[in-house]
Amino acid sequence: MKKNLLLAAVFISFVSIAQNIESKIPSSSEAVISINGDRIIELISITEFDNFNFAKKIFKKVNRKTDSTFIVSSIKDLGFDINSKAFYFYTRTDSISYHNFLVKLTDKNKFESLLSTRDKEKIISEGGLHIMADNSSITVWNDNLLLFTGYEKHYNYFKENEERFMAEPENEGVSYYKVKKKITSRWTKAHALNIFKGHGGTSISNSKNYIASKDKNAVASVWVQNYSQLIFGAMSGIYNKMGVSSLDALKSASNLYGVKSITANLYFDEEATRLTTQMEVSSEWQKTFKSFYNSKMNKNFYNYFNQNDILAYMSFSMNTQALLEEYPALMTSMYGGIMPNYKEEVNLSGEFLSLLLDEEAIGELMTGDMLFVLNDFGEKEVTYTTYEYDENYKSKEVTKTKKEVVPDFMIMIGSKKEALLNKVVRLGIKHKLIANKEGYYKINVPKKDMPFDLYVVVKNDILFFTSSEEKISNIVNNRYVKNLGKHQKLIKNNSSVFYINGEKLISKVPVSELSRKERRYFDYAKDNLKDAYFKSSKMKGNKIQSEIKINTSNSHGNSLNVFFNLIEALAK
Amino acid sequence: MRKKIFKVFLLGLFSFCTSCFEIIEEVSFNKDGSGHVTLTMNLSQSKTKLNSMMLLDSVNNYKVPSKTEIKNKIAQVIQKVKQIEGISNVQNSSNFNEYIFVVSCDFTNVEALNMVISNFSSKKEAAIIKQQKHFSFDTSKNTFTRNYHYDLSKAFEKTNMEDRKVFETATMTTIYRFESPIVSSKNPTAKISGSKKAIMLKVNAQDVIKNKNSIKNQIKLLK
Repeated sequence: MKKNLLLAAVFISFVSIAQNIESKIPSSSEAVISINGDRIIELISITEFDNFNFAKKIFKKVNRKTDSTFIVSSIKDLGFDINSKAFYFYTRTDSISYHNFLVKLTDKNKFESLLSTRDKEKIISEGGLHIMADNSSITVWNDNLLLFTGYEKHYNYFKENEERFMAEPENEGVSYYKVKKKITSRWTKAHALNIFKGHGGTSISNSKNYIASKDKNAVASVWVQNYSQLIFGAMSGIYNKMGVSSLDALKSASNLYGVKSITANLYFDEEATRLTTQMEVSSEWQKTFKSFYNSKMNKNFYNYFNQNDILAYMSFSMNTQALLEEYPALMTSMYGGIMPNYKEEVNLSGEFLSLLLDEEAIGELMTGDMLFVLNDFGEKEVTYTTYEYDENYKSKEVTKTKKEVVPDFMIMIGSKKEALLNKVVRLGIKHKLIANKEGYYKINVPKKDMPFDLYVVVKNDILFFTSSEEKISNIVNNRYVKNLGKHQKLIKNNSSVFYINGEKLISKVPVSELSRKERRYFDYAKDNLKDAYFKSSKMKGNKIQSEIKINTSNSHGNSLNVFFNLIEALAK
Repeated sequence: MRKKIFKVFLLGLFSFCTSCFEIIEEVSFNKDGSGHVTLTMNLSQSKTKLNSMMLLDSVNNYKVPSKTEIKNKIAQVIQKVKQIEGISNVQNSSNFNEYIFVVSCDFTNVEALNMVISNFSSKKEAAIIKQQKHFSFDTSKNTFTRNYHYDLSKAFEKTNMEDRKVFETATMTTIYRFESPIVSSKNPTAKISGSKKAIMLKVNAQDVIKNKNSIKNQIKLLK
C-alpha cells in the first residue's frame, strides 16, 4: 500500500512538473515564445537530426569549447528535455528588462559537463538549487528544470535614483558603477528565484488571450501582449537618453501603432511551411483600419491577369481617401500621447494638413489599388565600350554588344482621373518625352537608364505601365486573355498579396551567372520548393490576419525535413 | 515607402546582370626615364547594373556614392596628383554614361610615377607603395620592373561571397612602351609587340587573387 502511495506521489509530481513549467511564467510577461519540442520530434527524429552534417559540426564546436572528457554526439547529450516544451519570455520592471529562457532538463550532469572549468567555479548551491551568475545573466537549475535570465538595466531609472542609492550607508565610499552592479545583480537574482520557485505572482496560464493564441499543432508560437508597448519599450532605451520619462509615455504608447496583441504560429505541414499571425486592433483605431483596409480591388484589374504568364506579383488594395481623411486624427492619437506638452501643436498641424489636401481628388487620382506583375525574364542585346589593340598595342575604343537578362513586367495603378492623366500624356508628347503609338504611348527613356522599353496607357480606370508592346497593344484592343485560377480569391480576399512562383522563377535564373555554391543551392531549391506567398487579410472583427506559406515538395516526408536538408545542402 | 519598394523591386530585377570591369595602365617611357601615364577604369560592361544601383542608398551594406560625391572624390585625387613634384600635364575625364574614368599625366621619373599610384590608396598603403617601389627603372642595367605589394588573396578571404562575384570577371591590363627594343620579360603571360618596343600583359583579377598570375614583371631593354 505504502509502495502504491509512493508511486502515485512520484507520478503526480512528474505530471505537475510537466504542467508547472508554463505556469511559472508570470502574467506580466510582455512577450512569450513557446517551442514545442514534442511536435518537432514527431516531424524529425533525434537520430535523423544527429546524422546531419551541420548538426555534427555544431557538436564538434561544443566539444571543442568544453574541457570535459564527455563527448557530445547527439542533441540528447546536451541534457535538455528535447521532447517537451521550452519557453522564452520577456519581462520588465521600471528598472530592469529581463530575457528569460525556461527549459526542462533530462540530465543535469550532462548539462553541467558542457560548462567550462571557469564557469563551473562560479556555481553556488543554495536551497537545493544551482546558481551561476555573471555581469549580464544568471542561470538557475535543479535536477529537472533550468532558467536562464539575461538582463539590461534601464539607464534613466538609475540616473534619476543615483542620489538616493548613494545616500545609503552601505554604499559609502563605493563607486556608483559598483553600486549599480550590486543592485542589478541582487534584483535579478530575486527575480529569477521568484520565477523558478513559482512565487512570481499570477501565471500566464490564467490569461485567456494567451491560451487562445496557441495551437498545439504548431512547432512554435509567439504571443505579444501589447505590440505598441513592446516596441516603444524597446526603443525607450533611446528615448531615455533623450530625457523622456518612460513610464507615462509607455502607457500612452500602448496605443501608438493601433495594434494590441499579436500572436503567431509556425507550422511544418507535409507539403508546406506556414507562419500565421494575428493582430488585434485597438478599439480607437478599428474604424480607421477598417475603412483603409476593407476596400475591394476594382474588378477591371482581373481582366489583365494571366496566371500562366507570371513569375511573381504584388497586389495592394487599400482606400487612399479613407487614409488621408483619418490621418490627422491618427497623428494626434499617435504623437499627442507621447508628447503631451505638444498635443495642441500636433492637433493643429493635422488639421492644417487636412485643409491643404483634397482627400477625394487624391483618392481618385490614386485609388489605392495596385498590381505589380513580373511576367518573364527575356534576353536583350546591350552595347558597351571596350578597347582593342593593334600590333603595337595602340588602343582603339570599340563598341561591342552582349546579351543581358531583362525583366518583362506590368504595373497597374488604379485611377479615376483618366482625363487628368491624359493631359499629362499630351504634355509629355509636346515635350517629346512620350511618343504616340496606336492608341497607347511609349516613354522615351534614355537607353542607358533602362535596358527595356516602357509603354503606358490609361484604360478602364487603370494606369498601365509595361515593358511589352504586345501586352499594351492587347490591352488597348481588348485582346488580353485573362486566366485567374486560384489568384482571384487570393487577391480579392486580402488587402495585400505577394506571390512568387518559385519553381518557374528558378528555372528562369541564368545558371551561368551563378557561383558553384549558389548553383547547388538553386538546384536543391528547384527540386524542393514550389510556390510561396505572403497575404494580409482585410479586417475581420477587430483582427487582421496574415500568412506566409511556402509550398514544398513531399520528397522528404514533411517541410521541416525539407528545410533541414536545405541547410545541409548549404553547409556542404 | 512605395517608392522604396519599387526601387528594391527594380534592383531585384537587375541582380542577375553581370558585373565586370577592366583596369588599364598604359605607360610610355622616354630614354631618360621620364614619360606619360594613362590609367583607365572601364565599368561599361556593368552599366545596366550600375545605373540601377545609383538609384539606391546602399547595396550589400555599402553606401552607394552619388554622382557628385564621385566627382568630388576624383577632383580631390587630381588636385593631389597635380601637386606632386615631377608631374605635369594632368588630365582626366569621367564618362557617367559608359562609366569610364581616365586619368593621365606626364612624369619626369619613376619616383614621381610611384607617388601618383600611391595617391589612389590610403595613407598607410601609400607609405608601403613608396617603400616597395611599384615602378623602378635601373638605368645601369637597362631594366624596368613592375612590382606590387598587395596580398590580394588574403584581402579576398575577408570579403563575403556576394562581393567576390564582382571580381570574378574583372581584368587588369598593363601596356608599357619604350624607345629601345625589349630583349626579354620575366612574366610568361606578357606579350611583346611586333616592333619589340611595347609589351602588354592582361590578367584576370580572379587569377591575381588566387596567386595564379600577377602584373609583376621585369623587362630588359637593349642598350
